[in-house]
Amino acid sequence: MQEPKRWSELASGASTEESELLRVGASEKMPNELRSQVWSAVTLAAAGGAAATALGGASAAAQSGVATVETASTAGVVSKGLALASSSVIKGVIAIAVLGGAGVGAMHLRSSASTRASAQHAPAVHGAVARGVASRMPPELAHPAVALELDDGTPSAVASAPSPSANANAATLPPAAASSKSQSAPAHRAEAEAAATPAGDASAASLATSRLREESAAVLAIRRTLLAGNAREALTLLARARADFPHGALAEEREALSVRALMATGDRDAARLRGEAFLRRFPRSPQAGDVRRLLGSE
Amino acid sequence: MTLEHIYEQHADFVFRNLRRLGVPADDLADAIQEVFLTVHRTLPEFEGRSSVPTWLFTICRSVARDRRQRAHRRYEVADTARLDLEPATAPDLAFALEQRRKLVLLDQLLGTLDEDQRLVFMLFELENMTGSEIAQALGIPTGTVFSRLRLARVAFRAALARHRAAEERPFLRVGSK
Repeated sequence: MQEPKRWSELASGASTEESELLRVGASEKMPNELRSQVWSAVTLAAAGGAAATALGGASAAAQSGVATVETASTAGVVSKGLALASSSVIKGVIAIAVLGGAGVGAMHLRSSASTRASAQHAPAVHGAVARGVASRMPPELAHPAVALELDDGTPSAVASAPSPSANANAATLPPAAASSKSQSAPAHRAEAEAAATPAGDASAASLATSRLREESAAVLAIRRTLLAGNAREALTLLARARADFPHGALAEEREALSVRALMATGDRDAARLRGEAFLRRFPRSPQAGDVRRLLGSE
Repeated sequence: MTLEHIYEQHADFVFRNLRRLGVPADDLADAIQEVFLTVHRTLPEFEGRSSVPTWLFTICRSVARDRRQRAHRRYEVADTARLDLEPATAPDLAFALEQRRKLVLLDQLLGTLDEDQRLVFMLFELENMTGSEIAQALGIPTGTVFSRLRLARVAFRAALARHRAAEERPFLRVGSK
């Protein structure tokens, strides 16, 4: 079938005003700040995909009437954790909880808020996160999904609010799972131990969570630098992050960024070495496909 | 094709369409994120069975539908002015205001169209999609795409004429919509 001419084209039969309105509408861009905020949220949530699912499951449980957020989170997270027996899931959950909810999780928490009046912690999570962003964003965009930018002083409430679920999570893991996790992933021992401490002992937990917040801020800064096209500067920041957080919980995200940054500088050999190391270390990473494609081996 | 590539190329498309599908302003960031997480999840199965915009639009539509239902809101395009996070610099200000005014008028006119016609009109006139892409995205025959496009154009033109008439005779504006 013959396609009619579009009204934004010349001699399409549209008036000048009609054409102009459509051209303006077609060239509308997403505001830059929103663009980079959403991208950060997407990549973090994508990296913690399994964890986000677990949180989603938790809120589903909450909606069906389970009394508290702790219980619900435990149910969702532990079933996931045991099923996959993977430390990365736990790590993801902790990271996401600490980061104030990578979109999906937080969104579910909020959307189900009305159905769980007894869930005392959820409003705290949402409130804290919303406050964190409110200082920099117009109220209509202040929302947990874009609350991942912690690098400029988000209130500490964000870090402390979700800790009950992290505690519940670690505490209800069978001892074997908990210890094997610590042995196989010494890098995450600090977080695991912090999370396993009794709720009263907040200092160790807050130390670990503040450490994780620092690391996530560093990773977000690297991503932003890279997206802005400053690959060399990103590499400098990457080297610093590697030194500061040698066994960081977000190493996977950081190393994937390294491959991308090296590629962007044109250093294909170094990118290949690092990419291959990444694939050996994180063969099941959600970013493994991206890395392989970057290296041209897929 | 990576998630990053799709985001770079199509984030504006997703933004525009979610907005015009009636996702409220305070929900847009979340909705865009949800669309791209769906993309991330389903990318391995995508395999280019349709064009990327067609695929993205079907995701946008389902995300927008969920959110509109959840919010119990009627169709209403988010006010773009409230989304403008970057203040325009002085020399661009007049131009930016003019563009903004046009955008608001466009949304107002689109809002008067019947939903079926509006979707076709949006995808054809604003997103440059072909008749067969639109047919696939909306699940209708290509012939229906073009008949809806014709009706939508007539309705759009009439809405613009009513708007102009109301502007010229402001005292008769009541009931002119």
